[in-house]
Amino acid sequence: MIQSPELFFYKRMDAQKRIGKDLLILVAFKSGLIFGSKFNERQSKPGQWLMLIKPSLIIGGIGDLRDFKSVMLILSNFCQNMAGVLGGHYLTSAGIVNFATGLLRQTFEEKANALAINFIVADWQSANDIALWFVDFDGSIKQLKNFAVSGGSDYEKPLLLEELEKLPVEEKMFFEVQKEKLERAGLPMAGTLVPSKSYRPKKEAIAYLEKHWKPNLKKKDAIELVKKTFFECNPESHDKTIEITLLECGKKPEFIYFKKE
Amino acid sequence: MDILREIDRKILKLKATRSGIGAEQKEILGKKTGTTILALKYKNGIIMAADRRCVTGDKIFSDEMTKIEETDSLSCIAGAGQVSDFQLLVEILMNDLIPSLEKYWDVEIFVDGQANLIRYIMRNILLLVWPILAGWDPYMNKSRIFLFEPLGTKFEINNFIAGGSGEPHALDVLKKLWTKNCSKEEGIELAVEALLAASEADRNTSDPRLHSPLVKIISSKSITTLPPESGFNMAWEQSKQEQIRQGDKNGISAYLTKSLAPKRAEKNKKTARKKPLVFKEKKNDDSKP
Repeated sequence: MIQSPELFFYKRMDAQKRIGKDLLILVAFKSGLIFGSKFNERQSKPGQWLMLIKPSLIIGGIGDLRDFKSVMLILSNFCQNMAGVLGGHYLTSAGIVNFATGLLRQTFEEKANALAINFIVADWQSANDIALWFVDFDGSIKQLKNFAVSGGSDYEKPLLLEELEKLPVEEKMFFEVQKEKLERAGLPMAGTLVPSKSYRPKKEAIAYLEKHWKPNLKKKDAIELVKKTFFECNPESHDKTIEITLLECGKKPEFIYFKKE
Repeated sequence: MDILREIDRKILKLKATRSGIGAEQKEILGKKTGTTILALKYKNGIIMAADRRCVTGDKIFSDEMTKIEETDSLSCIAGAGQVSDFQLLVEILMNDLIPSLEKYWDVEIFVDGQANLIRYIMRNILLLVWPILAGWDPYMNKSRIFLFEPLGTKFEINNFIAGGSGEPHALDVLKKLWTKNCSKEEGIELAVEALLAASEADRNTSDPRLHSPLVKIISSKSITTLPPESGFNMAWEQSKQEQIRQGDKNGISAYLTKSLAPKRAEKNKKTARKKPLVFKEKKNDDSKP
């Protein structure tokens, strides 16, 4: 298969579309971590987007469930073999990120479709020593601090009638002129174009967390912060349930569910 | 991408180059070739000691061999058996596997991880070596000793162990004299005494009185090496004490006593009086009542 620039562009757009607009948020608080993600009672299982490698090392993902499960299977086999060769306590977030990056990059560059997932790796030795990594679908990585956001691909939503009526005349005229140009150029989809607004849930969530996150957050405040981030930054979650996974050092994971009132 | 595949590829390559000599090596498997190495736990760490002799058949090749290598800041490996196999094992471990895995996982690999790696290597490549790995484990906060066999068996030892052709003689001494919370000095003396006993019974073990043994002291903070002079002095002192116990008049103690005699005469000369003492005789006087 010839890997042309157009093919890479298509793979990128396709992966971002399949990852979807839903968010996965991780917030570090005084004595642990909180994961927040959408939850559909009919389609989701509690904690289905999380994988515990060892008590202090967890991976959370968002995107296409099939791709997520296949990557987690390969990763858990790798970790098991490595634990046999070296020992379980030598599995660190840095090594897992190295492996995942290689796998995702290879798939993105060589296969017809990229793996539509991105995930967060959290390694916490103690409350003051938490390593956070973000790994994207093309293998790019970022080392983060305090909180992490994944998913939340940009999307466009057509304007409602009320919003259309409120649009200034100049903007309506500009839109009609552009649509006519595209129709004259022969694009078949030009006729279906409507004025729409673009949303960037991930950027908004990051901005919100940067504004409201504080060091030494208490558990209740951290839960409240994640809840508000979901309901304010991602408008699509108004009618959805949110699952919050609470992870504290030395305790079992706890699942809490919220729905917009 | 996959570090495990890379490691497997390197090990399989080495395995392929050594595949043709299996039958002969199986015969040698039962024999332990010339050397004496030992490791014993003391109160706050481990003492590891080895002799210096390298033999080829019946001939002594060298009495300056280094048989203990430091694998990191808190652990050492000593090897009994084929020198080439021991050097290959140390090379794979220290130049290849440990650095690449430490870089990949961004973590320092201590004695427990090294033991698992050695087991993995020896399960895949037939190496005619019986290594002893000893070090401080910061995860469990205690010292640990591991012994390996050529087919990849790993044993964890709780107190002391010896290896090589001088093993039975060294172990006899260790069994009689080792105590659980012995001090560092007692541990070093015990290690030298065990090597001395092995050298007196096994011709493939060098005499620590002639070739200072290599002694490494592993604690929770660092590894130190015993200076050669201390090793010599200890070996001579122990030998002298033994001769005295046995009442051997022609042995080392007598020799040392005689050799010290001219020095004593010189010392006496220096402290001798310049004028001789004069004794006056006491006369019995009958006139006095």
